[in-house]
Amino acid sequence: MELSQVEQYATGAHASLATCDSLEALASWHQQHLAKAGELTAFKKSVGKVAPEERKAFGMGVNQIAGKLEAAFKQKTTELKDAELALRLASENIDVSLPARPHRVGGYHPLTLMLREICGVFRDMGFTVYESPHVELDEMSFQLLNIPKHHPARDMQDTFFVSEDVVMRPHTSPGQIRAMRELGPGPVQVILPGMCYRNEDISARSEIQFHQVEGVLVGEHVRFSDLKGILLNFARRLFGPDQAIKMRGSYFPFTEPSVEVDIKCTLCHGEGCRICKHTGWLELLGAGLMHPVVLKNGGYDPTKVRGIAFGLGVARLALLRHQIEDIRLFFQNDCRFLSQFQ
Amino acid sequence: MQIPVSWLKQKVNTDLSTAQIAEILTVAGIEVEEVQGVGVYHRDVVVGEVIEVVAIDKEQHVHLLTVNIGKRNIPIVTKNPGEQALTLGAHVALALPGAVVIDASNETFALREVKAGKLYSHHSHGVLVSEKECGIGECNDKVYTPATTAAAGTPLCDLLEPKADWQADEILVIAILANIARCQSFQGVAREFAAITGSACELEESAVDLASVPTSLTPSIEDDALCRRFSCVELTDVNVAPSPAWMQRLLVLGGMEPINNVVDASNYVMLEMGQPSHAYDATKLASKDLTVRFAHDGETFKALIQEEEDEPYTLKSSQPVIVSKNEVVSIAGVVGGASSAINDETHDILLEAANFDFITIRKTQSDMKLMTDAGTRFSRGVNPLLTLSGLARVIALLQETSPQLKLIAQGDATPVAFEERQIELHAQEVNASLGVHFTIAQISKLLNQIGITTATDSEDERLVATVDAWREDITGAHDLIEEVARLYGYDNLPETMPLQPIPFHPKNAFYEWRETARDAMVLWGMQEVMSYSLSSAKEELKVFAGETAVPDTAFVQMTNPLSDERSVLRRSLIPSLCQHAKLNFRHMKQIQLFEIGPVFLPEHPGEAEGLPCEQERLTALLTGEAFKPNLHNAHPGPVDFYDISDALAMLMRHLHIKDYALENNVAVGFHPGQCAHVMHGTKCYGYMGALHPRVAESYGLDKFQTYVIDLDLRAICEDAERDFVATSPLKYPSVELDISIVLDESISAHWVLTMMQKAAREWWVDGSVFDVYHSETLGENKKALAIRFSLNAKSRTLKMEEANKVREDMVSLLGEEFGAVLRS
Repeated sequence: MELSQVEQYATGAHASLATCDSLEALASWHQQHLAKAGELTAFKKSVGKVAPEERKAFGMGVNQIAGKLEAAFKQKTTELKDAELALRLASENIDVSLPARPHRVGGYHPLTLMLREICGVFRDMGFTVYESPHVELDEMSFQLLNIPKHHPARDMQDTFFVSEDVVMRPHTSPGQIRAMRELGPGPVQVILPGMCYRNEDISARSEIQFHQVEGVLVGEHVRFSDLKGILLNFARRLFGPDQAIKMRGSYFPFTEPSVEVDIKCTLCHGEGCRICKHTGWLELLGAGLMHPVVLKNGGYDPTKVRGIAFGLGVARLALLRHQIEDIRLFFQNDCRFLSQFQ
Repeated sequence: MQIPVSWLKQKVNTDLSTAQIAEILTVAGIEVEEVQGVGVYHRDVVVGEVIEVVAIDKEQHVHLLTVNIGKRNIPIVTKNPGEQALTLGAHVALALPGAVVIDASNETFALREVKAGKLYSHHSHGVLVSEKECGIGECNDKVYTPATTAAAGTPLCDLLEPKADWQADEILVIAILANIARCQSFQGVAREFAAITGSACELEESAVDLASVPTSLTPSIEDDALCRRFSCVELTDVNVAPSPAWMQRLLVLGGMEPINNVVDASNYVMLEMGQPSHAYDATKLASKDLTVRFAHDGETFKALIQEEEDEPYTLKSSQPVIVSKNEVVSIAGVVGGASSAINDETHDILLEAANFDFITIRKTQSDMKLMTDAGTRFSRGVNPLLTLSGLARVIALLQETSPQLKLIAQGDATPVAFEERQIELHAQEVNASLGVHFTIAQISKLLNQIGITTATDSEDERLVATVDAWREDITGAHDLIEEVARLYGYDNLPETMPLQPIPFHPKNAFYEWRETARDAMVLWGMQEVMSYSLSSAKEELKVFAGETAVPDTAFVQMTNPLSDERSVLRRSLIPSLCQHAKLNFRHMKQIQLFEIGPVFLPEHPGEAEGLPCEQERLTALLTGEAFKPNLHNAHPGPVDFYDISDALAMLMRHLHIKDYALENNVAVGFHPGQCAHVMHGTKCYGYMGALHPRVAESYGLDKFQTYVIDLDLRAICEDAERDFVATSPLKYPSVELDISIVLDESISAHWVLTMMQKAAREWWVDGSVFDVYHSETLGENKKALAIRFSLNAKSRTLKMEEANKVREDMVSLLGEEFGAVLRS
């Protein structure tokens, strides 16, 4: 056995390796040449037939040839794999702009989102959520709030009556009395979110049902200036750090003094526009120092304890925030409208 | 309340503009709702430029003009406007639709609102107006053509210097809230405005001196609670005539109509001072000694505002009247009678002014649905000191047009004494209430501004305020504090955060779990909706279609509903969800809605005696296609029970309620074969399943099966567990095995799994049905269930023999309990 024979064989093997064009062909080439039962192994085994003095050189020569073939095989394998991957990648191009595979998508009602945001701001300021019934005693809804039967202040809202003594609450204020009686006689700091009812014609600006959030802070050290601070904070958290509030004297039977609180128009930022009737200001809520009669009915001594209270309409804020023109959309429940809010 | 600005500026010394006056009053709690311009002050009275003139009736001098008003050109039809106005390029005074101008065609002072319309069969988008109509002069035979270079469309009032003798005016329209009854008059507003601005104010008006008039009249009051003061003055030689032009003008600007000098003087004093009064023809009264009392049931009364053919009012004993020898001559404080009304022949007059209880007048007005200017004032409260001084003022005004009149007699019933009140106020109270640091002198100064006199003690930092009897709204220190805050200006008060520490209130757990439940539903893919709690019995009862009807009394009913549609409180959220589903089916096929809100169950007790139970429910509705057809899945099937039961699973996962069960059962309104009770032990949270096809159909949902979850949310949230015990991941591998059994159709998978878990004891991890098979070969009413379950010994690797032993135990237990056999 001559080394030249092996070399000759190797030349052939290299040539046939070059013609392999698939991983399958490559595998069978490997089988034929480099596997245990392959031809190269046969050459290695034939070292016995070589003259003893040439065996060392023959062995080294064959190993060298084997190494080269192995390396060539590895390189070819990489080449073919790369080519195959390139081919696969090329075949797997997609149009990324095609529609995604949809999931079922749920969503919150916009008033829920507004309520959560409002309650969230007040909860951050230490208010606890307190809820009370929708159907209320006339006593809770009016009389204990300093509005006796036939009082002129009853003109301020048209109330749905269930009986002479039971009404649909026209405001969340009955919760003031319930909260004070339940949580007193110590300090009370609650917000009262909830649905209210008024017997008014339904229009783009008014609904027979609407959410209010009322806030109540009762204690020995409560001041009117706290009301201003809390509401300014609220306005800024909800509508931006540049917000300002303005107060106008007003009248609510359950507060004295009573004020209407305006914020800078959210659309024109105080410049004056259609939404704010060119005043630069929008009505936000009503507020005041709690009337001594109400504090007394809540179980407090009004000479020692004071309270502040404020109440705001939730839908109004949602209308402002999203520039919605018609309040009726909230109860129509058309998913094309609702699904925008998520 | 309407206040002419010209009057206000005549009485109060001020240089402020009308807009500033309105702002100042509003900030101080006297809300100016609107400033109404009259005549030239109306912003729709503008300068127009004539750009085209077409004669349309030469004989009558009617022309069609095209007038440029800046933004556009409009057609105007005009008759006899004068030569000047027909010149091309002329500037003319033009009142656009909506403008209120002086009605020059009327004998007495009157206003009219300009409207767009057709004149001589041509459209006219306004009218050209004269100086008189603008209220800036007397000329009325031609259109006013201002000499100006101002741009077309400029409001005319921007070009003219206001003059004192103008008839035109601005009117402050003031909302009278219950606490500012004192502002129900020109003088009341003037007094407030002067106080707030610190301006000088001259309100003294001429009045006759009644001191020498014999007190021979004896007006009487039967019930002191009804009337606090009742005053009369008798006059003779009165000449009924039109009232003076200035008075007519102020009446009209104040919102009233001139009638004759007697009625007008009475009405004018009501506007000016706030005291209503009434004039009777004295010769038509049976007695001049009038009495105030409650009516006798069934007494009849014809009001002077009624037409001849109208039925007289039949009175009730709750209504206050004024009688003359038992003949009702007035409904007290509201309206006078027809029989004693003033007419042109009237010569002798009995004037009457009283102060009635505001609640009685309120009730009477709303009872009789009769709103009058006097009644409205009384129903808010009137200064009780003004009855006689009001009459003295009426008579003085009447003398202007009837100088011969003589005063015959007077009478004054004053059962109640009106005394000024003294209220003590400490600076510390003011400062602690408002968060300020005022001295007693500062506080005193503010109170003095509105006529409250004070005796101050600066050592103790306190004062004693003396409040006039008529300021009936001020009864305590808190009322004075309000006046201090209002006059100092709310905007000038500081802003602080509370000094008071946040109190420890119990956490509102239900509120928090409810929001978690809402999150779960949204996360699963439901859209939240909100419906009216007010509904109609008809819509609500559809839920019971074909089932036992519930009686109407089961609804909380409104006694004064807005409409039948919103007359009762809902007992279920299902009807409104069905309505929303139907609405949304118009534009989509995948309906997944839920709502959280109360239902009202009057048969159960509520928060207090007389209130219904309000049960917070979570209700979801699923119908239509399971998803929107899309590129990746073009053929969605309809939703079914197992979609909605997955939504329930999502909810329960979020509330950490693991051991709930669905039991096949029936419920009103549901499909009898596809209805589950959602159980937690023996507690039923609510129902879930397909709506009964008849119910669905009654709501117009008949194309797809409709699935509903309807739960008592409070009951669920009570069991929600925040403090559940978390488990660590299992350390050793679980053994997963299958079991396939044949058993009766009626045995639910839930019970099978419960038994398997029982057999596996603490090695149980989980298990789930992966195949349900029906075949005749299994036998009648039999089914095969294939269940995959996994076991784990937790502290070591479970041996296969042990697992197989468990499986054998399961089979024998299922055999014992349900007669189940292994499927071969």
